[in-house]
Amino acid sequence: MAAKQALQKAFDPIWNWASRRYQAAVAKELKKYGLRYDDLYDDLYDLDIKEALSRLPQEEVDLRNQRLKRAMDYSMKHQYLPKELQAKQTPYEPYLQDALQLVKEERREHAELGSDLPYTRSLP
Amino acid sequence: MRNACEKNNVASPSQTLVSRLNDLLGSQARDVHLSPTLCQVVPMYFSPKPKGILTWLAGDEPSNAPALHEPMPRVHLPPQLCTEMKPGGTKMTKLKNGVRIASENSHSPISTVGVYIDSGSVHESPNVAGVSHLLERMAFKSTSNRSHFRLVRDVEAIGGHVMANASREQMSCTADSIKTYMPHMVELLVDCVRNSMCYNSEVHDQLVRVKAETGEIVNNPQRILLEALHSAGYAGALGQPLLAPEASLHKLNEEVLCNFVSQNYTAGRIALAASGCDHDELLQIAEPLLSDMCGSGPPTPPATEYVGGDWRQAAESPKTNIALAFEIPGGWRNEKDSFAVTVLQTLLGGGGSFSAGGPGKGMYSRLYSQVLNKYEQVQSFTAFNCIYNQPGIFCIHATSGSEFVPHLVDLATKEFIAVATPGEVTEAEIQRAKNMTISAVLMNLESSVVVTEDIGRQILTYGNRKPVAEFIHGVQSLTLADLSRVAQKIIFTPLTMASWGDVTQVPRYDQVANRFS
Repeated sequence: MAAKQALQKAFDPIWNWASRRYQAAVAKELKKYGLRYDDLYDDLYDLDIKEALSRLPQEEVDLRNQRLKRAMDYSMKHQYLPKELQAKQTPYEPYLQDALQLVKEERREHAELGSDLPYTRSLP
Repeated sequence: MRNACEKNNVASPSQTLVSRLNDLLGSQARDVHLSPTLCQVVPMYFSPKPKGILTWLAGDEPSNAPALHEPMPRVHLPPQLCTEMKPGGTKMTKLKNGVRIASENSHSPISTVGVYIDSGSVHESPNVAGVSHLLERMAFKSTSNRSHFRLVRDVEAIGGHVMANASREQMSCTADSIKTYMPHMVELLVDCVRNSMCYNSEVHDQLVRVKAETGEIVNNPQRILLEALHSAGYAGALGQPLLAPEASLHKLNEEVLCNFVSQNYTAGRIALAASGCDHDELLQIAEPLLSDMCGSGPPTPPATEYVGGDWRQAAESPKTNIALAFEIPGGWRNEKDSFAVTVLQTLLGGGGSFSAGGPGKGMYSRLYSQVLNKYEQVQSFTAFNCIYNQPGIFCIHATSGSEFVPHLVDLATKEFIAVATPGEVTEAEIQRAKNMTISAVLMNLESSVVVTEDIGRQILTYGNRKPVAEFIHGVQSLTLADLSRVAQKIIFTPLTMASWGDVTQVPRYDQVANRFS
């Protein structure tokens, strides 16, 4: 344990530098299409995401869908967002994480207490 | 023990077969007989005898346990319930921050705990009507410590029962369970009242249900008329709707609820009432949970004025429901008059025409004997009252087919005036009404839920709990003159009229109001 922590501490500066560069690269790509990181969570991939989206207020879901449609449109036309709009983007602003965490907590609690979820959905 | 019995049999194949048969046939009974605790308790009856093949053939001796209607000697029975039960008094403690905790011990195994808050529809502002109704439904949903699922499982594990009720001036959340689980229920209740999270998804679910309930209210015309009487008769706080109106459903969300709770659920407006638990035990558990609440006492009561009015709604229904109402000036805070009004309501009584069954059902009340027994077109004729802290409403609600409605209004008017005229009501009638009121109150107070509610609501209204004996004494000292004085006071206030159904034949408001002046 102590050795592992010491090793981690030694490599932290390199790791942090690398992760900052990686996050900046991802942010640049997201800004080009006008998306947020939370928009990339796919509700057909994980049903928890679908449930979390259904708990968000309708405006947030509408904004997410509009961003996705805009990104799909630019991608089809092989274009990017205009530079002024790209400067205004906030790719890492969260809107889904709290609800998603709540949903996962509930699933875990139901599993612990040996009960089914109140909603039963499955991927077809 | 079974091995010992088997060893006593001769070890030959037929004998082992017999002993195995014996085991199969009598094993269950024998296991009970041979269980250690019962042997220790009553050794002389259950000492095992070795059983062989002859016992099996010829049958056992009859056991020498005594007959079932005689007590077993040398058996230690636990102590029985005590036979002299005196109601313990109500003890109240006021914490430093203003929260009041009161309890009354009882001999029943159930303990009920309730949190009563001085917050109801009168404290809503007009643009957030219906918050109390929604809060009643959101009472036991997710908190910051437990999810709703966990809360339900906790209550089920204890075997308890939770309920919430919102009224115009007070909000109550109650939980009852067996006495041993009282600490758990107190903690759960305080958690629900203080730390409710009001998630948007849960609020949304409940709003859908509220909308459905509002749509179904046409099945309950009495409720419609009650709301109508308040909205027509009162200008101000009491005129605000208790049931969330459809128009404001879209404005209700998590933020509005949380604002309302933080403004109104303050320390000085909360009372924790319990029945069936020891006061010191309750304090030990409840004080650390409630002593860090902040907030002041109740604000000046919101302005309310009774003005009287008329309300009509035409609806598709073969019957017409009408209600005539007046104000009870003084409300609960004027105790003598509120006792008189309660007796007056029992005196008038009434009900549906199909339930006019037998004595004890209120059949001797005036509305039954004067109206329901004489006019068969009347389908229901009831007197009821809603008394609040300051004012109150006294009303007669009647249902009949639509052609009979003018007669119906005449009958209601006649009854009101008869009760207010000294000399119309006989001494026997009033004595009967007094006895019925007292016995109804005492019978209700046998339930621990009602006792808790009584304690909680009295603390919020009066500041302490008045013992039942005071109520009984007050009711018994009422005279005919008192009743007719109070009735006159009531009918001199402006009339409020409400009608629902086929309202084409309902007479005009001013015509009806003039009969009372």
